[in-house]
Amino acid sequence: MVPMINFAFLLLIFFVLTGSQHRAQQAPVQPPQSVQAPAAQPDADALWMRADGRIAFGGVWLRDDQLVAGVRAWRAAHPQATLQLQADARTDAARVVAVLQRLRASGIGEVSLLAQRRTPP
Amino acid sequence: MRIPAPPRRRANTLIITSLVDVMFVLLFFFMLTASRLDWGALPVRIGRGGTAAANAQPVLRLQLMPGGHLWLERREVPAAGLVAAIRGVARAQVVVQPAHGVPLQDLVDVVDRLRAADIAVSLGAAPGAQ
Repeated sequence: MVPMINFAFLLLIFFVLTGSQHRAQQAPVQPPQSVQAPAAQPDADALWMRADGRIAFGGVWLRDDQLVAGVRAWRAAHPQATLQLQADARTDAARVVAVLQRLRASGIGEVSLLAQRRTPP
Repeated sequence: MRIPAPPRRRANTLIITSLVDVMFVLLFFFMLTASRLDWGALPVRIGRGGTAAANAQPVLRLQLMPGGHLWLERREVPAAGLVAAIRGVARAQVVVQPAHGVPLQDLVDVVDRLRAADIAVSLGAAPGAQ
């Protein structure tokens, strides 16, 4: 019994120390895989885009016409930060580009696309 | 007749069953919530289509069609020969324009290939998409 408890404690401490609980990682999206993406951690206020094209910012689902106001408020609070877009791998890429163009038109220059890194084949 | 009293449990015995229960709950919680994804952030540049980009630097338009078909300046190129076809044209930048119905993963794959070949990439809307 005692060795089993010891082992279970070891596992517990391992998961507590190595697992990272980010709010952004709970986005209901399956990110695309990329070989070239530099390593990064998702921000809590990343922009989410589901496979059906719906958008959420800071965990709140938005209509398209609410997006610009929300992102402008974020930009005012974070003048230097890069906005992260966490989109599903199955999202229509044309829709992603359209949203990125709308962000650019509203003054958000720096955007990065979150991806799951994989090793080159 | 004397009935012997049942032996009393010692008060200072450590009861570990509930402790172990709590610990297992914690263990499962952290096992299930810990994310072990290796995250990366791909910087994206957005082209404005024809207007602003045209006068700054000549760009190559690469259209992504559903099914993985690639059209470079209105001519279809095989996926394997994409980098060679771009290198054959002395232009600095490629604008990738995904058509409707192309999944984001296909776009990321093409951007990955171009970035690996040190080709400057920006994204743009396909003609007629806006």
